[in-house]
Amino acid sequence: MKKQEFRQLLHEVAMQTVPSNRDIWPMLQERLTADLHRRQRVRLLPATRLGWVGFALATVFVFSITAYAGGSWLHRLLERDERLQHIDLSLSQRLALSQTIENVTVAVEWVYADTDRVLVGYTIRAADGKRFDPYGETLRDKADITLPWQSTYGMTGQSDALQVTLPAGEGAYTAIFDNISASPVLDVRFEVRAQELVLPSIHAAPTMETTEETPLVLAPVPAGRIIGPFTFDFNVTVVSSSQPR
Amino acid sequence: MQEFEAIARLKQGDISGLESLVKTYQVNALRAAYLIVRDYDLAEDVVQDAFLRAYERINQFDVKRPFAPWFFRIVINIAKRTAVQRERHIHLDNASTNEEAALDEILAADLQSDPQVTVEQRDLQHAVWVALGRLSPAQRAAIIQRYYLDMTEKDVAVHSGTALGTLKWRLHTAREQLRVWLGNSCASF
Repeated sequence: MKKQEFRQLLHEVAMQTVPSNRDIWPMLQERLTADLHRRQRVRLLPATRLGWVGFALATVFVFSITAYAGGSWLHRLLERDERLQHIDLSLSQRLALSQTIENVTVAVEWVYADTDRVLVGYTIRAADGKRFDPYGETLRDKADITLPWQSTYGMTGQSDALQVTLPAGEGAYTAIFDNISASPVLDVRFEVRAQELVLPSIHAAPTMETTEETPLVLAPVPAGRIIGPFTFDFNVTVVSSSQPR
Repeated sequence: MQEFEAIARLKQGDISGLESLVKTYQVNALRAAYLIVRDYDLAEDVVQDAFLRAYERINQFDVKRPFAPWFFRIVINIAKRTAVQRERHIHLDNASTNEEAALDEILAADLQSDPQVTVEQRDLQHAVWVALGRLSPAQRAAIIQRYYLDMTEKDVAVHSGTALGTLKWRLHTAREQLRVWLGNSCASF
């Protein structure tokens, strides 16, 4: 058998089960809608810059900078995500790794790994109080295999109810990756960049007399500068997943 | 809609861009995923997950590069992981039954679609299908990337996050095993 024949056989086998007119868009659209609704419920950080305006005006979910994986806020957060609600964070490992670039410090505080997921808990803090969000998180093992990123939870702000406060310019994040490695101990490199959050300014149209009908004009928002990558190497022992199959 | 326009729309959060990309890539993605996970329903889940992930991460996609390799990298990674998880939990007896069922489907489809297909050809398809199932998910994914998606070894290595030497060895051992399992019909493969 030549390579071309083998290739042809693969195509024939696949074609017989997957017809050319198969359309998954209707199902995907349903999932997309359901996912968006779910994310709106569990997402604690606004997805858009405008969202941050409302976010800043409202009191938000918060946590202490000293809280890490064992923090009750994180337990409650994970309980809201069906992918993560079975995770036992008491099995997480504490780390104390930090790196500063251009007055922005990223500190990796804890990591958790089971046979399904890897969670990395870290903070981003800017010395000048500006807000930076994570951008382009990656996790690779020593064989240079990239563990697929799933999502990132983030928290910032203050809460009187919880009596905890994060300083201005600091956010704490939990990045979630799929564990596709079979290794009992992961030797990994975590990389993340920090992107400056630029809030839009609101102006009334200058040549118009201000009335209730005067349109408010949102000034174009420049893209925030990106700093990094911040790079961290560490090991983590993989615990058994308690996620029901 | 042109691909660049679909991507630009998607980057702005307009899912009509995603719809266009789905229509373009879904069939090939489903087939590649099916060859790796070996179950049609799972393959659909894999490809849906891949499109959702592409949607989530489209802002990380460099528009100067082609979309297909970036997207198929996502498909293959999810398919590989799904295949690993599936094979961890499938009892051998069930696996045999499933493979026989899949073979029956293949043979039935052959007979319906083309009565001229020879017994030898169907046997060969069956043999290839069964032999692929005996490879590890990582080997199978590498074979599918190399021979079904027609990627170069270098591209397969880059897209699977594997060193080129490791990938070459993985392909070599997979080919050797296929040669053994497929016997003479695979002599020059």
